[in-house]
Amino acid sequence: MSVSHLEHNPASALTEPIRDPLVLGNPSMKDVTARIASIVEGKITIKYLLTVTVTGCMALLGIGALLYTILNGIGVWGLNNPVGWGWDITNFVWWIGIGHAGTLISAILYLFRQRWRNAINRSAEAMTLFAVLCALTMVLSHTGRQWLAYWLIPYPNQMYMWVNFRSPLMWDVFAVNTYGAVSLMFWFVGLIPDLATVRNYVRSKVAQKIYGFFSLGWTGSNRHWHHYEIAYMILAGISTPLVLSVHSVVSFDFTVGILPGWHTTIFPPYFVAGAIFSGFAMVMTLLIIAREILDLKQFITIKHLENMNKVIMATGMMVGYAYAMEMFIAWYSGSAWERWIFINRALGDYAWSYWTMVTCNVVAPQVFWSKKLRRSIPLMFVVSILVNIGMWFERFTIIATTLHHDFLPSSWGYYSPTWVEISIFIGTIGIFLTLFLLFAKFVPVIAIAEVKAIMPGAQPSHHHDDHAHTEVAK
Amino acid sequence: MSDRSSNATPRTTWQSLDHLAGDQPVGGEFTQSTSLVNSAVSRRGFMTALTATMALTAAACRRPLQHLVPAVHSNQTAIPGMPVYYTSVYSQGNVAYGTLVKTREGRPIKVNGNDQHPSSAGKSTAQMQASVLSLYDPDRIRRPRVRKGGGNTSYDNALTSIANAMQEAQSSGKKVVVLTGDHCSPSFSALQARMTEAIPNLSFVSMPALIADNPAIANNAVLGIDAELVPQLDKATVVVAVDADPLGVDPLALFHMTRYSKKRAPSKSNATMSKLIVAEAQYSLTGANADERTRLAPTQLEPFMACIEAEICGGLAIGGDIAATADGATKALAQKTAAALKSAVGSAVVLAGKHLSPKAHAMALNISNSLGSVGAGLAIDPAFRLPNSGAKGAAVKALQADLEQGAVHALLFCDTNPEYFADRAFRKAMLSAPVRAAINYYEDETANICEISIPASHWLESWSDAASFDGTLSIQQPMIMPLNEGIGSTYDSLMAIAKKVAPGFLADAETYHDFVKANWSGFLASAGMTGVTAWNDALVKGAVSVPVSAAASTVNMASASTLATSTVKSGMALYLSPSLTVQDGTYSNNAWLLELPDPVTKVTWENVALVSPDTAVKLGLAASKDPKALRKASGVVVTIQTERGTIDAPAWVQPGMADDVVAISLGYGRTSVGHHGNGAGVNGYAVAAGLQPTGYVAVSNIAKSGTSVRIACAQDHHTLDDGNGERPVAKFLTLHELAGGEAVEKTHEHFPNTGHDGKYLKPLSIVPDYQYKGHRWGMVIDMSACTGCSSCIIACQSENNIATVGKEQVLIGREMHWIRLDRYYVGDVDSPDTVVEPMLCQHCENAPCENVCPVAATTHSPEGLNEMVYNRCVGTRYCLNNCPYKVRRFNFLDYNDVLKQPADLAFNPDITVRMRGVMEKCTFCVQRLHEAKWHARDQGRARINDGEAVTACQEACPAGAIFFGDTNDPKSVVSQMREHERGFKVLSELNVRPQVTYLAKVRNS
Repeated sequence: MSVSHLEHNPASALTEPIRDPLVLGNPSMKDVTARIASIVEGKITIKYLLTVTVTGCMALLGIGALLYTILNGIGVWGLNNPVGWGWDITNFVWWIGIGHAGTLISAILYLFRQRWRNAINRSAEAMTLFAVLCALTMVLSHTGRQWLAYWLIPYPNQMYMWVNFRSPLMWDVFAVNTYGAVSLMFWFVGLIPDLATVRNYVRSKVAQKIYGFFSLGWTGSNRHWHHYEIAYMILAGISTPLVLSVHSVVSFDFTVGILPGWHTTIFPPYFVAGAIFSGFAMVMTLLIIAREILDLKQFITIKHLENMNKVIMATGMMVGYAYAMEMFIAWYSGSAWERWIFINRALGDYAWSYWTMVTCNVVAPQVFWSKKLRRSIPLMFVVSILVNIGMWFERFTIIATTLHHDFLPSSWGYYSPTWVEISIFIGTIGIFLTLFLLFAKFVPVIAIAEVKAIMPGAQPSHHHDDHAHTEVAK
Repeated sequence: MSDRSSNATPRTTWQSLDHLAGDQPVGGEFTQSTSLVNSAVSRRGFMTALTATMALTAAACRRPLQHLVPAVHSNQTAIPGMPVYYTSVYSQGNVAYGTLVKTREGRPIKVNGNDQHPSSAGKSTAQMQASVLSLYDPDRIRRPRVRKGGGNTSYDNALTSIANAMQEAQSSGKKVVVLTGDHCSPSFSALQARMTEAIPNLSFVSMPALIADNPAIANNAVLGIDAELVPQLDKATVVVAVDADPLGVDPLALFHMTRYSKKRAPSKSNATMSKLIVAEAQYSLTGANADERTRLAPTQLEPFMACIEAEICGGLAIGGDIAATADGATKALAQKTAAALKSAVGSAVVLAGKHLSPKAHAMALNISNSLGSVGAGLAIDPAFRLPNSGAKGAAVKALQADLEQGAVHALLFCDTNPEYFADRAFRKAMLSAPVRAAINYYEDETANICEISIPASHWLESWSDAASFDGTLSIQQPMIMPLNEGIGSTYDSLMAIAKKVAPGFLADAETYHDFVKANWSGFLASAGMTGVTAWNDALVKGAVSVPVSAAASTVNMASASTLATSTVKSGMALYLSPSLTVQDGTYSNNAWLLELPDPVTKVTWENVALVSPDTAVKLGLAASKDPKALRKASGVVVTIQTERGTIDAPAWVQPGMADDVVAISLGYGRTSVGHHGNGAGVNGYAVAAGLQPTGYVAVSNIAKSGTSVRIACAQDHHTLDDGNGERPVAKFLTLHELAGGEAVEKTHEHFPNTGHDGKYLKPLSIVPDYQYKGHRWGMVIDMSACTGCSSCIIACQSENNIATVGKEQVLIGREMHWIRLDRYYVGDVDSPDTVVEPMLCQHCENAPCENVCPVAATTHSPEGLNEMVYNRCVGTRYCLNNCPYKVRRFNFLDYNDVLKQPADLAFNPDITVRMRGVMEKCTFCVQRLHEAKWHARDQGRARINDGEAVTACQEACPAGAIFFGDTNDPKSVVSQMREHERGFKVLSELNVRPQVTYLAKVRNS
């Protein structure tokens, strides 16, 4: 995967950087520390408070709707027979998918030495955690008796009851929990040097204590850095297969089913590509906002965004290929059930959902073929939102179209959500945004240490008096 | 009250497992004495007694139970936890169906047919089953009152008030009239006779909702019999039904189904079956079962019969002038039909719809007679007459005249509700009676216009009897004291009133029980039953056969030509017929029946105005006949105006109906019955023709009202070939194909395009199959025999405590029925055929629901059952999604939470009542399997015999279409049926290996 943009200057090929600089403005190391740590130290603005209030209200709406559901039963949702899953599992898969970008950026791009990731990995990882939290909220609340959802955990009990390891939902329990746990560790380990920096930076005694506690006595010694690098590398190694496995396992929820439209081998790669696609789109949405509000244009450059747009375009075409291949295989398989379900997807009761999905996921990212367009902030913001919408509709299409018309026409039905499900979805977005805002305020939103590593001065071979990169940074 | 003997005959009914086991001790599991204390009362025995005492004490909190199972004098036949079965008889109008009622702890919980009774033959209808729910209906009248809207009074006070009114009438020389519904009770007839004898100004008038005199008028003219005749469909090989619905709304439908189905299960070696030809304007259940069905305009129905008559009776035909009005298509159809009839001389009958004109009935008799099918022992035997089925219209008209002249002082309504169903003139006339009293089941429309109201009794609460058309007599014995404390049965109330008016009346009978018993001494003697045990023997058997001594009658068409002819005119017509679920309105507050999908339309909770696709387009309800456009027509409210009135009813497109006909079921649109029935549907009686509400009424105007409502239909309009290629899930073939050996190809034909070799798929598995050592349960459903009557659904609901969910939930698609009847249309939208496929859990060997449950809440039993563990279920609904048959039912809400006392008494105590958040589904009545196994163990048998374990659906099925048993036993019926050449498994290509085999439907065409 080529994510760099080559710009060859024949006049001074040996001295000029062949890549765009990853940090603009040529700040000093101290500037970087001050710039990022000051976000933590700075005052809470009215704008920030208002934003948190709005997202917090969204979260409260969702929590209220969840309580309402738990008190009255899943019947307050629009689910029925035959559509046993609707927005609940759609949201679950969507959130899990969004989380994927974090792990991909943290782990895979790290192992591939894609150093442009260093400015965005922290927020992408945070996003992963919050997305997994939202996914867990959905999957726990979707059960009919939420207070017994812990029965999905295999624990020794006096009932002598054991879980069913043949069930993909059981695999989900392991996949999602592993994913959540590893992501949390990875994120936290990466945070330790920066928390120590903040500890040293902040003036409040309380804040010093708190940041000091979480920085685990980090002194920045060579020994610490040595162990840190090893640990980070190992965690990156552990996380890497999770990028592929988690969404593959989530896709098994469908592929292990025997229903036409679900029972298909293309799902694992297709779901992984879709997860990265949607995850990058969500990272994009958040970064565009964050770099504006927190004034991080210096660190999150247009180059970062452009690279991400390339990933979005590539994964978008992968899911587009998957859509086409699903259709082809449905025809080629000769199974009338399969054929019918795919015709129904495109032309049936949920055709609006299918075509929303195709438009947002396949058509919209095509604008990034143009370099000018993929460097346009407003446009990429719109596309990232469209991709988020499109990927939500992809999961909805898969779930609803397959369930509402399966084998026996006598049992066909139609599903539409109630206000409760919509509120819960809004609530998960609220929880996600609130947590992200809290994170952006109280945790170094950019990996200070890692950004320093990609600054010109960090390179032993780099001549510090070289100013050529400032010209490129226009 | 008497219980049945405990001889272990194949049809043994019994009070307890111990009882069945005879002398053998129950507890065989402790071979050595395990008593810790050497005392006469073992610890175990003490605990048993303690538990029983507590149970009885608890039960005794309810007064009615207290009388039946007194804790002090323990009823030796009532062991808590053990069912007791009693015989009784259920009367549907003037049709008697013998029943066997299961009671637990003194309360009836399940109604089955009595196999000793020829009409029910051990089978039951949905309504018989559902009547248990009506018994415990919280909306019943609880206490008498003597003022409109007034408070409660004592029973005696209410009776006295009526008696006083009767005495006032006597002194003023005016009449007292008791209006009753249909009945077939000889004792009630006797009581009526005794009362009118004792009180000279008293008269009884029978006024059921569905008066249909035309058959009796025709029979009177042709045969000299003022009664309806009961055709014997097992003696008919060709049946032509003209707008008749013998398998549907006819009160005799249960009887007809038990007989008709005998000729509907052909095999290759015996490729014979009867032929049912239906010509009708609406789409009846009989039409859905027809081998050949043609839709005819209402004006062509009688000409069609007349043409057949002309073909068959020649010069003896009486309908020459009617035949002249037949159009070309009708004539051609009549010729074809006549040819089919002629091919079955001696066993061909023509049945005319009850609403058709007397002349049409006479023509039907003429045709059947000319074909040699009328006579003793033949398909139409003039000896088989429905009791009290003579023409009733004249008496009602006379009463109306009396009322209008002010000659009636007191009007007593007894199980009849004319304020709901009668026409406006009669209702107005009723108000002229100064004193009105009602002994009705609900505080209904009629009770609302009465000063005095006394609760009526349920058939499970009162002594009575019933006579069947074939002379079989049954005693209706109560299972429970009247739930309305201290209030006698309807008949007791009448008797008590008479005793107050005429002192010395029935001095030898203190209660109606005494009166019935006294009446029965004569019946028992004529049946050859004598001695002190005769009454008890009759109760135990539930049916006593008294020979019919009808005078021979012969067909004489001489006076038939003057009979009235059809008044149906061309133009838009409204067709009214009783509901297939709530009937004439009797069950319009019964949640089970309201939620039961109409067997034809699948609409629940209300009635709709059915129109054909073309009519929908003509009325502007749909833009075109495209299925999607037609779907939009459903629920659009139309205003229908007849000369009697106007109603607003939601339209529903019914494929296969005749054009320019709007069909509406009666029995809905109640305003005062209870919280389920009030406001459900529209009242068709309001636009009915008058005294005889069923049949055609000219529509003077019909137009969209501008509003529309959502209709809770349990199945959408999808036909089998709804634009998606044929889905071979419900297979069918013709008799010729069966005889020609094409059955195997037709039914085992694999799913098209999957490239299999046209045979059953060999089970694909990489692991060896589980070896079933003991029983392995399986089912066979004969789609050819199944008529779609839906009795199985209610039987299952009653047996398994299945909740009703209400219209709003059905609209979302959350009905809970464990067995449903999938109805598929085959053919074009104008005149499709119907295939009904009962669908329930298939207990797949490779159950796709089992492997996806994360908590192992659904597992496979060692007897091949797919089991659902409610306690373990956390409700992920993954099993529901992955079930290809969509037979799993999720408790989205706490559907049982809304039940009011005493509705919960209808629950089967053997079955858990499920809470919200858990999945449920058919268990193959696992509780019955266990009961049968205990029973076998008590008799020292390791296995239960074939036929000992019967599922509730199988037990009820009037057509005998369901077979259940041990497929590990090669000799069992179910094992043999599984090998039938018509057998196929639904969705077998999925390799889920279902344990329910279907036998393809065969059409004799």
